Amino acid sequence: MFEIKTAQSNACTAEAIWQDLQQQLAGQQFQFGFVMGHHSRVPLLRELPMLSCAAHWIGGSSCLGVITEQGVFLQQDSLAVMMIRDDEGHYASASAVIENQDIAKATQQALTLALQKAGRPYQVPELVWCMQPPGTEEAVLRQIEKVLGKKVPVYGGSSADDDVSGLWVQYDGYAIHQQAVVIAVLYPSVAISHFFHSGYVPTQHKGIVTKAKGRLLQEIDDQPAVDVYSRWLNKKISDNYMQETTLTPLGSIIEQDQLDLPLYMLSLPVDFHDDGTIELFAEVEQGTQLCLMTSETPRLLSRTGTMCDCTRSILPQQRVSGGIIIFCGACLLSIKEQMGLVRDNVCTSLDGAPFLIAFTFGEQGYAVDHTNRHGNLMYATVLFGETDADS
Amino acid sequence: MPTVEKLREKVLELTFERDNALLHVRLNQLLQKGLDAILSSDTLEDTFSKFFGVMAEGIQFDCAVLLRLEAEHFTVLARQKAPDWPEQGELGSDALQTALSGRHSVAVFNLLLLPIWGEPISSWWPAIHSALLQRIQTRDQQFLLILGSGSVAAFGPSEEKIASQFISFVASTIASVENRKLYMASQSLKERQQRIEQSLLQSEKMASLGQLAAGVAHELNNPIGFLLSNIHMFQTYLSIFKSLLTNYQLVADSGQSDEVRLRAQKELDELYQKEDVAFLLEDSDMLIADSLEGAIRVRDIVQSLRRFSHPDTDKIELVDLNESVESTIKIIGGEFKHALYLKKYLHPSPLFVMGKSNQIGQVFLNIMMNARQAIQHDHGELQISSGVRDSEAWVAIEDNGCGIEPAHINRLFEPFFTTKDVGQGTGLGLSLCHSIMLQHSGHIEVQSSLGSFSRFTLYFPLAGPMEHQD
Repeated sequence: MFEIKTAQSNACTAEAIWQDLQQQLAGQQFQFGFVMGHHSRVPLLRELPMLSCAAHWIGGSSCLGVITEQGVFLQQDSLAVMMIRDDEGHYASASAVIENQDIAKATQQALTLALQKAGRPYQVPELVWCMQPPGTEEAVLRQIEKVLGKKVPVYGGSSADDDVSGLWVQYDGYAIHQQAVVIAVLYPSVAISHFFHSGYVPTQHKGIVTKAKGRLLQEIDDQPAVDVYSRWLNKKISDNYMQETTLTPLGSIIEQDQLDLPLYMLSLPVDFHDDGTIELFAEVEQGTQLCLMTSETPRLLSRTGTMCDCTRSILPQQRVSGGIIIFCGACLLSIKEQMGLVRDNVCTSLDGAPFLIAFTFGEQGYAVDHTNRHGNLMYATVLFGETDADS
Repeated sequence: MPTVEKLREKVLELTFERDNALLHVRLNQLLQKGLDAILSSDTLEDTFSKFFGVMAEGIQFDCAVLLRLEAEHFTVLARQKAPDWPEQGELGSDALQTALSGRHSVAVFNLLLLPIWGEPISSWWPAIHSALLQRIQTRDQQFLLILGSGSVAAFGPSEEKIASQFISFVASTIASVENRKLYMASQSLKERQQRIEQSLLQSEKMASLGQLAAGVAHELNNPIGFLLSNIHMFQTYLSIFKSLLTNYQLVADSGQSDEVRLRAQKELDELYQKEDVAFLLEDSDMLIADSLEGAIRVRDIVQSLRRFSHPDTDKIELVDLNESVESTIKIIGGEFKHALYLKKYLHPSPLFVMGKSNQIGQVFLNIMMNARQAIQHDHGELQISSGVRDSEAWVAIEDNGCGIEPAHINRLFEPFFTTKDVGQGTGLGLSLCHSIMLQHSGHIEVQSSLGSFSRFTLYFPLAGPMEHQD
């Protein structure tokens, strides 16, 4: 038996949240739960007997709130769960606090423990889900691949707050963390399908990264990065950078052998320094070709629905039990008033199946070039079918 | 959004879908080659040994072994770059069940972490870090295919999927081939059994005929006897009729002399005085009628015997059970005539069933013969009745003979089971009856009381609905 259910609450006390969830889930038992919510609500989970509902959890804070098939809950007061009942599947999660900025170590610990808790410390999972604080995404991906190889799809996102002020939290079913890596390993008994992409298109403005360090973009085509970016935009960036740059991020061009069309992994400029360098929300490598990307609000609103269509198309008989969607928090902030359209599009695409949309600051997923990647302003969809691929 | 960008996005989505389709293409190619490998192999081992080549086209691996699993040990059936693996090892399906937690296909990213099996595999493959384990279950055997790789975490969900679907196909194909072979073997056995039964049936028929010979001879002898007698008598009458006719011709012939005509008249008078001509004429009619009846009886018996003794054919036709009962009685009637009283209560309408008439006749004959032999006293009765029950026609043969021991009732239809003295019965009669009834989708019910009666009721599916049912 495989079943997905969602439940939501915008109550302000732990007790009221628990009552809402219990009522909507009808006291049912599940194997696994995703929980995402506003940073003001997720910490209340530590007061709730969440393990009585499911043995394994992964979650964290989501920008402004969440969206489910039941509605749009972005009033900075909500929380939602997506529960999986899978009698023949195996699921587990675990966390580790990042100490001394050793992200790899925390990832290794969380992953190893999750595999052990799933009773399969040796087996490659069907899917890995991760939740971490912003700024650690690439390191987490690298460590997961170091253990499990590059063939396992890794999805997830960074916990978020509403304005990059650092109020994000992570949750593992036992405790609330601010600097922890939470990892879930999934071995579902039904087929899954996943897709990772953005809602942006390239412009004609391109250049080579000639100097960079981690997330600091220093020079493009041997010129200060700020100068080049401003020239491409044809304006000087003032303040409130994220709002200004959300529709014009930079894209690292990834050439892929299998297709003539390149992939673009987006980086959101978040800070502009006086020395001409740009602080990005994702790493860029020296030598990479960068491109100014652009989008329009209608496209950002429709893209999640079209991605769900595409993801669903490869499920057995295209039948979907439900799914989880990661949506970039920065995109949300620029189109939040119209998010009802996103919900409607996903509802239509999934034929009313339950889903949870969470908003993160940094998205991870298995890109079309069969590589796990981290990007900004990306969308990730993971759908669960109704049957196994073999049946 | 410019059209070109929409197209780019569409192309990307199509690429995503194409990748998934390519997975199926790879799988289909594997299946095709796997099928070729199965069809070109004579043994299961040969089939599996070819799989390494086939699998290599779908999944990258450095080495492989194929094991046959018993509960507590394995045997290596085929290997590729696995020189240190022993021919047999003390690891079996029980331990694997624990290790794989019931899964059939498992991608192991670090062999040393695999419980029970991991350590020995690593010792036989020191340079191998990751593996794909695929369990294969056929009708009555269990196998394990292990693909190894020197790379860390070389196998993922897509390799698991390919291996799982490919092996599932292979296992079901092998099962189909095994089933086909079993089916052909069972067909061959069935044909052999049919031939033996056919031969037994014929032997049994001949044995029955042998036992019947005296009765049949008697049945034939009677009509033939009075046929001969009648013909002799009629021959005498004919010579008188000839004399009468000759003298009448002479008297009536005006060309004859008076003397000849007077002598003829005198002879006529003497013949009329000597013979009762009116009686002779009347008796001649009776002689001819009796002779015809006798000849018809002979013809019927001979026809029944011919039909009965004819080798079985596959001809299935509409058979009237009542007619078949009557025909059998004609053959066996001579046996009954002086030994028992025959009562018939046959259904007024023909009871048509589909079947082989001579086989059905054989069943009736065997049971009637048994009934006859069961009656040892001088007030024997054989009651034969027929009727319809739901969609079945039935014929019941009941005798008031010695009955059957309760302990024997369940063994009546076993081949070679007989209560008769050695040389008196083959023990195959009722067994053949049972077999014939099964072939006709029918069945036999037996009721008996020791020392009182036995009743065999034969049920046949009706060929069509009956207008009148009892």
